[in-house]
Amino acid sequence: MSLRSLIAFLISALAFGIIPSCFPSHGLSVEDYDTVLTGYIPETPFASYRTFAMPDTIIHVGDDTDKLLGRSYDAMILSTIVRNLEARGFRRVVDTLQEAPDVMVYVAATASSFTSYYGSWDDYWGGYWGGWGSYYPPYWGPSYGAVTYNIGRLNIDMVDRDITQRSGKNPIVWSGSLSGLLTGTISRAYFTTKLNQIFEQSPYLLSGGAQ
Amino acid sequence: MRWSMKWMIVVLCLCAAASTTSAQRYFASLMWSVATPAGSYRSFVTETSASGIGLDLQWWVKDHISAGVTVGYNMWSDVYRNSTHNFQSGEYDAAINGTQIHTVNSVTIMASSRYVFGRSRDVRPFVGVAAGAITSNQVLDVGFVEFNETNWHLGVAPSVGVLIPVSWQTMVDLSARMSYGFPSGTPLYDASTHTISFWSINAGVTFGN
Repeated sequence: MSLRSLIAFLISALAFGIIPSCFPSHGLSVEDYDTVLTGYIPETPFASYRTFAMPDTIIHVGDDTDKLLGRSYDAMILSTIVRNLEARGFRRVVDTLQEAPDVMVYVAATASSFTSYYGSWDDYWGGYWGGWGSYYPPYWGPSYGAVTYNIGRLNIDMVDRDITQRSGKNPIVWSGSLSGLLTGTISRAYFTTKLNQIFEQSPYLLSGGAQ
Repeated sequence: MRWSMKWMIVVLCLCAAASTTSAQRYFASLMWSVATPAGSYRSFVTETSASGIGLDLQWWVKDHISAGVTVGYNMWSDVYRNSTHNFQSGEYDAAINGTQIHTVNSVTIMASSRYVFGRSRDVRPFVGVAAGAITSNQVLDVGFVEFNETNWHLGVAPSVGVLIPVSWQTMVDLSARMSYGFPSGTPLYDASTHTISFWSINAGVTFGN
């Protein structure tokens, strides 16, 4: 190999060996996949709303939801939502036969299991440097596996009852949700933080009662 | 992966051609590029990235003037925790909060020219200018949600650098370049127009003479 060919080879190795290794992994953890999503219809007259009603049950959607989520946090989740709405001037109506609320608030949850299959070409280097020492050469070949993870989502929908009675318009004037991987990190503090974030990133959600 | 393989094959072929040819009227520089975002683009990515590569093919048109083609690829990827991104989803004004990964993939394809001072076998400073296209592929990942915008920009890229001879047909090529893409498309960050600009330091080996 001539000097020039050698240099060409080295530069190619630099370009395709070192540079790809510079791609950052960011050291993400399970919590980094949590998201809080909100949305509203811009022309909604939130200031005209004074009262809301909310069922005291979280609707579980899907066959796996009961098993994966349980109901141990339901009461705390519902009370956190009520507290945030009341802090923004909304008044809860409990007996809807006595008083018709301006908006209905529905809370639903869903959870599912997913299995992801993967392949890798470099896992066997770990075995070479591990307990088996140098008895076995490194094996360049594919390895395959599967990982199962559970994803959960909690959704809050605010429905304008007047719009519900008209046709052709979307009655869900505001929606907030939190979603992420279901792990051991789920706790009361987790739900409180995420639910508060839903309302913090919805500054337009102010009842006329707050003014 | 396929994309990387294509680049690998193309550049290896160019390296092989450059290392074996006996032609005297052109030179080819293969460079490692370290780049840092500039201007409003820093609203999207801020970290200096060493994930870049460049290839410069130049033909001598006069004693000190060369002209050719400059291609390059630069990538930035930053992580921002507890950040909120606003966007439109159907009739909803929406916002999503979480850990955001901002990634930019940028490809440069430009016609270029250099004025090279000094004489052959000397250490030769040069000034260069390039004009053509810069692509910007902005990717914003939040959890399992991804926003993606790809735009082509007209761009210019002035540069200064130096060629340091190593052997008869090999030189070290060191340069600094400012790349600027004029407004085009929609930014995934808070700005009224979408431009791309970055400074880069490029180091590599030049084959040819």
